[in-house]
Amino acid sequence: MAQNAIDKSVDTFPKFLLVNARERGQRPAIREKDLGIWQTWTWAQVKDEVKALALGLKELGVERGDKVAIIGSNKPRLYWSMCATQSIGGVPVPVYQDAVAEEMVFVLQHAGAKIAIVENQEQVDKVLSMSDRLPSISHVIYDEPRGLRDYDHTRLKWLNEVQKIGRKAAESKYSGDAWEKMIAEGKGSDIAVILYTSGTTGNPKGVMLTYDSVVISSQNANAFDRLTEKEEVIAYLPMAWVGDHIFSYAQSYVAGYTVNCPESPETIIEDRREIGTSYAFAPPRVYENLLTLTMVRMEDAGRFKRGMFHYFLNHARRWGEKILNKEPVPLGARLIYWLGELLVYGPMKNRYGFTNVRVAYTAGEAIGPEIFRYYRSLGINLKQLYGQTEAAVYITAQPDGEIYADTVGKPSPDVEIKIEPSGEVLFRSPGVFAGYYKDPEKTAETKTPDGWVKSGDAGFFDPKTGHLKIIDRAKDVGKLNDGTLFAPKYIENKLKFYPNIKEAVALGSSRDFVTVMLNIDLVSVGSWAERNNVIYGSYQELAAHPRVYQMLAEHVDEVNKSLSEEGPMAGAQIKRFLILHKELDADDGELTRTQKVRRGFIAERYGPLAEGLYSGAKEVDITTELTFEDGRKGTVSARVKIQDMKTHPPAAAPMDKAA
Amino acid sequence: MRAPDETTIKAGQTLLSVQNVSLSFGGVKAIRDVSFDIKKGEIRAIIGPNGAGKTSMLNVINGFYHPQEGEITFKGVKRKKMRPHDAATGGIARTFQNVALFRSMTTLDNIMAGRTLRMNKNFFWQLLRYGPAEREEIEHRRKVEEIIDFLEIQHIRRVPVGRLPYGLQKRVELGRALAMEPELLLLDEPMAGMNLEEKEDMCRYVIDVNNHYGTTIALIEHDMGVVMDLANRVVVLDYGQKIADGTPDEVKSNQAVIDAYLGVAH
Amino acid sequence: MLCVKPYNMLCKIFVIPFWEMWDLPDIFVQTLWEGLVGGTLYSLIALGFVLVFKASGVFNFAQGIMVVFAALSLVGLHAIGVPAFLALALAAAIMFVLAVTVERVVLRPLVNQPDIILFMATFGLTYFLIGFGELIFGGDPKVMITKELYIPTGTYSIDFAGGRVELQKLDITAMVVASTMVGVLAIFFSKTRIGRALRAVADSHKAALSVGISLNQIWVIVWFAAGLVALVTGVMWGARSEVSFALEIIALKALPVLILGGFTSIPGAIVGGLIIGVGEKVGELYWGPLFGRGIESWLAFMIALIFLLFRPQGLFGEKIIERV
Repeated sequence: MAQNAIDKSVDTFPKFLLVNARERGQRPAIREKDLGIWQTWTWAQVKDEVKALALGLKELGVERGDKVAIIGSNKPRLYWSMCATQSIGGVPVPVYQDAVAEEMVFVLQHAGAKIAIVENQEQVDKVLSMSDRLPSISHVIYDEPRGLRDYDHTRLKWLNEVQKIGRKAAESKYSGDAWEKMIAEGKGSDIAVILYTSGTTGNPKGVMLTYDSVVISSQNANAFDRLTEKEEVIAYLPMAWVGDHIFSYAQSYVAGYTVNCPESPETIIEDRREIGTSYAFAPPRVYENLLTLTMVRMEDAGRFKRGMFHYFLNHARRWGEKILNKEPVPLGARLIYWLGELLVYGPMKNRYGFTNVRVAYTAGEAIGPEIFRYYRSLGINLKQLYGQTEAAVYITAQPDGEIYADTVGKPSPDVEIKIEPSGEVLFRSPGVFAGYYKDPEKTAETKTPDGWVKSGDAGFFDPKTGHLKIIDRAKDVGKLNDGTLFAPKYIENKLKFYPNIKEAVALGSSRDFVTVMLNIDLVSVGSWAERNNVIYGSYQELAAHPRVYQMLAEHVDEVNKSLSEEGPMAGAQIKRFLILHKELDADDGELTRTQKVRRGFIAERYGPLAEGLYSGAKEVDITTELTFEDGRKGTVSARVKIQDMKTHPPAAAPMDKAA
Repeated sequence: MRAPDETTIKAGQTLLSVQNVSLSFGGVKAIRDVSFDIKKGEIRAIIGPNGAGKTSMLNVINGFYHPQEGEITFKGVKRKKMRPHDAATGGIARTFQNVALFRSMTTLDNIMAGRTLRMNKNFFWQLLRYGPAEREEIEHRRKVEEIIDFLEIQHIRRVPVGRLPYGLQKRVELGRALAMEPELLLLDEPMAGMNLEEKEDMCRYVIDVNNHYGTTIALIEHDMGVVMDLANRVVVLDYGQKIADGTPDEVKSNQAVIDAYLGVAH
Repeated sequence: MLCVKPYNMLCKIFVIPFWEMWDLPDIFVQTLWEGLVGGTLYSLIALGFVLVFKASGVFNFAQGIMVVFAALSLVGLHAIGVPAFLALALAAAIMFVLAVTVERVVLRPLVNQPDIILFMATFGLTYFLIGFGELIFGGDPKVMITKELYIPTGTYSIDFAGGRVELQKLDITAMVVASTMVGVLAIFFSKTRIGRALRAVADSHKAALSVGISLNQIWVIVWFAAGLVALVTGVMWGARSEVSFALEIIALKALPVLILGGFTSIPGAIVGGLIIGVGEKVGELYWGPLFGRGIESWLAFMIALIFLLFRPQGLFGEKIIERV
């Protein structure tokens, strides 16, 4: 249980750090894999590191209330920067490190950051290149010195140097318990962090969360899943995302568990395997990618291995979830499952690094029921939750033993939920945000005076399970010209459950019928092409291949069939589709930083294609501008084919698809 | 251990010079009377149209080919010809145009192989892999891990290089050359066959190697943009002869070079 | 009998032999064991081939004669009064000298020549060693100094399924020594720096040169390793029969083993050797009478030929993984 919850005077993260250093000083707090070896820091060591950094920042002029931007991938020193800033009364503002210069400059200006603590040369370059537009920034501090030796160091400082300054100050100016006193000045109602949400439209909004809301949310979550100091998590999602902030920082400080920083973004799976994480959190995309990789690898495996894999997988599909849910299962099935664990499930879980996982969550978007069931059938306790930055994550979560592929669970502890007549979900909890930074107007739009927050999502409570179900963004549920209900995301998700389809964009609001633009999944379709001797020179060529069209047409037809069986959805079947000639990319603004499609933007950007879909054209020419990672621009042109589809008559009796 | 340096060369002084070198295969003259020098600490590019003798020149420098005429002076020592082993022990490392890796070995083992000359040659200890040899192995491993970190190839540490995509193979090959801690690094078309992003990465690594380790680099490259960005000085070969030598700007405006690239008849 | 007229032949091939195996299991096990022992020695010879082929790309025809030459040196040294174990050490030293000489006189001058030239050179080496050996040691068969090397002789008898199986102590020793040898080589290849260098050379001469690996040194090492393997093979084989130039033809048996196992695979050489050894003995006993006996001499090639049709890269031969 969350022992710390008892002591109400421990209400900020620096205070939790002091508690952890005192009560579990020798336990590992954070690890990082560097030069092939896991380096570990105990809570006691972290306290020293944070203290040195905090006093160093103080010496550089950080005052109570100052904002400190933190930009980079998940590294121990960047997490320490967060706590160091908080300990002297500053407010950390983590920024998405892959944001293009424009986006970053907006956040840094809007937050009025005084100091930017960044990971490496790449980020230093980005910040320095915009320095004339960022007068508020007095210093840029970097963690990784490579390539920065010859830079002008008047405003630039190496993090180790800052800590050296801090250590010196700790011996003179701030000797004794001066730092601890600074920490004691902080209180629960202070702003703990500002997290900018990328949103689907307009500029990012700075969500202000108080210590109280983050701490209480974390305590509740730790209690809900019985998390202890013994958990191991791996930190690999953007630090600027509320999910990572809660899982890899807040909950860790509150429970005292260990956070592991991977060696590089490409080694996460291997690193996770080495660590054996016990508590995992990932957006559906991560689970999808793992499964796609497995399936591709299995297609390439020998016949015997493949046969064995599929046999046991089918067995698991039938019995695995029942065994996990502790339902009665015949002995024979249990035995075969046990054999499967030995031969297939165990090695598979080991490959994913999920062998020791007690609780794994997926959130952020709907997960494909097939994907969801796959992991559960292997015996991984994968659950869904529904959260938002404005709620310090938790709104609903699935309790153990009450898992459904198509719900997001019951209200989390201390959370109240109500559904508006328009279908919009409203929530109220201690975790609710204080407001949008420098934007009282937007705050008032979203948060009512009595504390209810509009989620912007449409949903309903399933009378059978009592769980919340989310259909779509409230504003995105539209209607066709003939008044048929059109939920684009619902259709897109159905399409995206096919491994060959990476992204889908459905159009239809105020139109006569539904059409979709698809993105192929290069790994999956590429591997299919290799097996079937389909020759292609580029992504564009593969996407336009007639046999790829044929294959995706089959998928679309299946989706139409399933829509036809779903009563009100039957009228929203897909009449025409096309395959986009380029991958949708966050750098081009087509996806948000959390990889959600920006439907409106895409419809506009690919205007000629959208027109073609409704004009009856067989082919459309298009030229698109695209942005490279360094900010340069180029163009790509293509001739895109459009395929017509047959629709299915609505089925008389809707079939229940759930197993 | 490497041969003791006969003289210590300071930055800006001549590290290697090629004097009046001619090389022919049977009746074909690959290089005709070419002379140029490479100064310590610079990035020197060798460019020219296809078949100009660029790769042959690199092969002469690292001892794969033995010129019929001319001399090579490396670190003040004059030689009629270089042997590959002399070149390697003297501190010359290289990569190849079409990637020459140990395909069945992992990335880690490939880069470790680059440490060969830095390793103690005591056969007995190596056989036992015990005591001092084990300590030494760990020391070398550390060095290799630094290179892996530098080139950001942690994720392929344990993958046999034959399975890697081409761009990554090129990076591993650079890693193996770096593991030798060379004084002179010869790169034979390091960006060939790469996409734009990989090219940019490779450029950054080349610059970083030059800055960070102070390694002198001689590279052959087709992409003129890359050459102009990277190189301090450029030597231009055409039909085995040197037609220009100087800074990128000088070379760019040289009439002979323009003719060679535009294919004016000789 | 079981077999009726029209199916007589098919029955004799596909039914009778298996029925006999089932009926008299002790004889079957005995044959299997002898096959395994013979196979072990084939494996060792093939191993010598693979070592040299991997590192230098040379198909070393002389591996067979090296076996004879090593065994003769050992016996010859002992005959002039050198104590047995010192003679063993000296024989090893002779193999080292041979390795150095081959590298200096044959490989170095022929570097970068086509493979066929190097192959022919090993032919030359074979005839040189035959002539040189006869000159020094004479042409008559000799007896291996089994007792002096403390190699146990005699048999263990084990009761088995109503009959008995006899295991020669000598054979057991051969198996143990051979497995140890293979184990040591495997560790040497995978764990040591020299092993790494050997693998590097096997993959790319050009790249190995560029990192300063000395090809000459590597060649000496692999030829020496092949020489040691030859010495061990010679001792074991000599102890089972006698030491004579006739032994050389067992080198021919290595060819089907290599086809089966793949020219570059050490595990392939071992498994291939065992398959050929067992196949020969079992084939001779159960199917031999059908062909008027004596199939032992060609069955191995038959097996290899059939195998070649289905898996040309050999059992463990490297599946070519290429990316363009």
